[in-house]
Amino acid sequence: MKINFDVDKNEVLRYSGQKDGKATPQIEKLAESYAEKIKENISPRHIAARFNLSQMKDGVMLSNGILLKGNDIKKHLSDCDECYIICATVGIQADSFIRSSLAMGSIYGLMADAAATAAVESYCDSVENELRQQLKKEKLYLTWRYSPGYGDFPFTQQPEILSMLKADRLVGVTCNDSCIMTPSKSVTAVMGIAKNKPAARDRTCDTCPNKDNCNFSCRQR
Amino acid sequence: MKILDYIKDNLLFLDGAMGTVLQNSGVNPGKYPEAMNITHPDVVYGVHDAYFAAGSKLVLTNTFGASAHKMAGCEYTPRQVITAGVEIARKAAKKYDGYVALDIGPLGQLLEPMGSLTFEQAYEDFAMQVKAGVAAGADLVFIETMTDLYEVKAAVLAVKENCDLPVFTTMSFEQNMHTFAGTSLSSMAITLDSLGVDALGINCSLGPVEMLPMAKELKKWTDKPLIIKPNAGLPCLVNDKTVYNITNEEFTSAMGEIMALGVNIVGGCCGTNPDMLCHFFNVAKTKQKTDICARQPVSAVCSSGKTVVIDGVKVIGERINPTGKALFKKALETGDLDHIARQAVEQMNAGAHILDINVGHLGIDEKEMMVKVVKKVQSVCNLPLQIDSSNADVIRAGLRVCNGKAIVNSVNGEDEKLAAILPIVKKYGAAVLGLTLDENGIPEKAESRVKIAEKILSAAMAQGIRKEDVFIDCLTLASSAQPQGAMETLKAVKTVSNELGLKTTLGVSNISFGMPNRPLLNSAFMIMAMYNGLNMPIINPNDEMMMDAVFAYNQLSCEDAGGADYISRFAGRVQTAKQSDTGYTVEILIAMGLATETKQAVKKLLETVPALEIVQKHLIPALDAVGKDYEKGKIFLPQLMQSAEAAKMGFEAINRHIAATGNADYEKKGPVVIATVKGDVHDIGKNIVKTVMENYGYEVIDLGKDVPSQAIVDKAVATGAKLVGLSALMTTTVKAMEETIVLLKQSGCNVPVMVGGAVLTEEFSSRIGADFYAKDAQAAVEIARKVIG
Repeated sequence: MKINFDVDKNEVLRYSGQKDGKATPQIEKLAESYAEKIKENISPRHIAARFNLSQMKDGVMLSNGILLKGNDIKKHLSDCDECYIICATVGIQADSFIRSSLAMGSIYGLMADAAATAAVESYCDSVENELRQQLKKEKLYLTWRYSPGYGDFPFTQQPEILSMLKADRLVGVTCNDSCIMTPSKSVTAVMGIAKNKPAARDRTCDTCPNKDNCNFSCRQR
Repeated sequence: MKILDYIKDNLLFLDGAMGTVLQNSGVNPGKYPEAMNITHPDVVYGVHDAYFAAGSKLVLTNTFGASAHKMAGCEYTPRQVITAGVEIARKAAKKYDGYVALDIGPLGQLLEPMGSLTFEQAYEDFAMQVKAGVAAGADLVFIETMTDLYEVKAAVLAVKENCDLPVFTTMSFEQNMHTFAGTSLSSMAITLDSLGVDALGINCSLGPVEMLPMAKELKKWTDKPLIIKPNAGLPCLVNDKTVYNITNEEFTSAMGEIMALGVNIVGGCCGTNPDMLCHFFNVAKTKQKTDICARQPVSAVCSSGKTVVIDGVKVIGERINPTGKALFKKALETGDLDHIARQAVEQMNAGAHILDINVGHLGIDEKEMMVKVVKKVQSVCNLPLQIDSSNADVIRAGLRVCNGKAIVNSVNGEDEKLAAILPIVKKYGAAVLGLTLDENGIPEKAESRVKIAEKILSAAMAQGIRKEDVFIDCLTLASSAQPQGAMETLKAVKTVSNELGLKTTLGVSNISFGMPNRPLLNSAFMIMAMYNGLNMPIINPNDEMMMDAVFAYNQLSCEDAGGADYISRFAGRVQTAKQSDTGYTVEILIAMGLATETKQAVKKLLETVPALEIVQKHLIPALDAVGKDYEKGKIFLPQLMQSAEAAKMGFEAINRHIAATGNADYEKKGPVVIATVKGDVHDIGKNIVKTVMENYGYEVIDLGKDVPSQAIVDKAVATGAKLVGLSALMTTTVKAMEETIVLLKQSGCNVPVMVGGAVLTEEFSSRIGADFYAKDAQAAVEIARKVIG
């Protein structure tokens, strides 16, 4: 499936640590140029696999026998009989681009990194929307992306997820012993497939699964 | 018959998937399919036997994942499963008079710079596999399903240096004609062809239909025998099963088209089986082997992802060289690779096509430095490299770790030089640059220089180096000293280019030595030289006037027909006035984050104010002011960093001044050792801390990312560090941080430790035994002030 997506300058600013709209014109320009440059330095790819699931005591069991652990993932999939598991990446070129930008100075490394994050997130949004549109034809709904490390869904399940998706072979994503993925701008996520429209996602900071570790503008600490 | 003799006259039929067939055998291969060589030899034998029966002439041993990393945790060692694997295949081959290839797959760990595995370690791992396979009696080594050209190079060297067996190599490409790691088809073909593999090609990832255009592309770049070993179509994930959906007929027909191109070594990969291959071989065996050579002699060099064909004019950037550069020399002395990395990226951004690397400097270990610098430059830029040294050992070391096909700078007409360096050039598959001088010096007359060029060419070809890989430098002499020199050089360039048919290079700027208005002479001479056949000027690509001249030349000579490159270079270029005094103070310029202007302003101040005073009264207070605004939330990280970069440029002006005048350096405080801990690969935050701390005059020793605890402790002890800074971003890597702290305390080295990173908090930091928690770079500076002063 062909996925179109763009990289928003404001997202680049947000990921770079600009916590309000008052960036100087130079910073704005820098963010704008990196939002453009990153597009020439990515090769986005993804896999999406659909699984049946059943609720268990300590998590959610996929039809391939793998247990996604934790109460939060249970809650996320509470109304679902199936789910999509995706792995998306903007590719190793993005990492090379970040390294060469960083060589020119920390500010450029920071901006390139923020732009690559904005790119992979935007790409994931588009993948998610595409899947949602497809499910509409089956009169099914999709929840949102829930990733290892959110809430009590263990980050350490990353290797299992990559392996069940054959991510190494199909999209070139691997992870090290600390569960950190390469290419670094890669995402794995679980999305529930529901028969009923899920309640609108409550996107406030208080309900955000990452509220304790957030560095972004939504949460002034 | 030896396999290489066999393929001279015959098509070679390979086997198909091992994993797919093992899975269907009814035995679950589990985590270590290679262990089946010991636990279920009969099943593995059955797979080989089925392929031979289907018509395969060569099978790959069941040793794809038999590397130390992938077998970790298995009760059998890689050596054991390799020995068993080769023996089983041998047994099957005997019955059919077939061949056995030791199968080598990726190590399962990413190599530097993508991962942490060093090139040298990768080589050792492969060498172990090769030795085991050779001892067990393999006929050849088959390196396959690779995505990183660097890893392939390590494997090929491991084969060539540890046995006499032939080596076949294939990599896996995606539909964008690149591997996941970014290797292009041309780069693979050029690099492996010059490294001297016996056959090369593509396997896995795609089906035969998708591989057809790739086989065509490969044909352009190599005349080695080609291998095509596709999957049974494009893989598709249905639930957790990988499904392939090509029919036997479709496979056979698509492979027929590929073979018509002159591809003579064929088989299958994932999803294929003996039945499919039998169908294919029954059709294929009725065909004759066709030798079609599509490769035109072409001069080309490459990195892993970028191929540079030497047609028209290609610029070799000369900036990575200490000659006449005080700051560069200092960077070599202190091992400041970041300074060198910036030189590389600057030149790449300025449009250089190839980068020369020269690190010869008194008092440093040139060989060790060459290896470090080549690796560093490769990690930040994708241009092909030119290894520049007069020392054969340095050249060898540089070529070895170079990813792609490099140029060696240089040999000359001296017999001794030729004998020492050309074999290295050949072994590592490089191109070579020959200087037209010999034991008698530089001949005055063009004719004599051409003679030396001829000598170099024939010596190179005698070593098996292709003619198109020999480049000649006819040598530029200062026109102030040798008024006739320029014309003689040009004459020599013309003859070497037209009559010998070789590509040429010239270090241009020597022409103007001792003359006024050097840029004018340089560009005039370069244009004359290009017209006479100069292909690769060695210049400073940051010099806009020189690069402009190259673009103009390419446009006029129709190399850039239609002028697209020329137009895009100049469209929208605004003639900016020469950098002048903005009238702002250094403090304001730093607050505004204007780097170039800050540098200019500091330079101006240096005319009247002592360096130390500028640091203490202007730069540091400016940084403090910005830091306060950041703490108060008036500005945010991007602006803080932009100011830090501006200040850094100011410090660079100061350092250059100090290095040039020989005045006493201002005292550095520290040292502070910083690192991102083992397992963690995030280094932006750590680099930000480094930039800011260095601005405040701290000597920061940056160990990089994914650094083992012991390495951090060792460095802290060895340098007598006053402070250690550790960074970790994930919950999974905070453990390594804690371990490092424990190890530091145990070592008896009482150095205070500060920690930082996304998942850390003040409370968490003290729980893991850290002395300080640095929430950001500014906080790190405050801690350093407290601890060190």
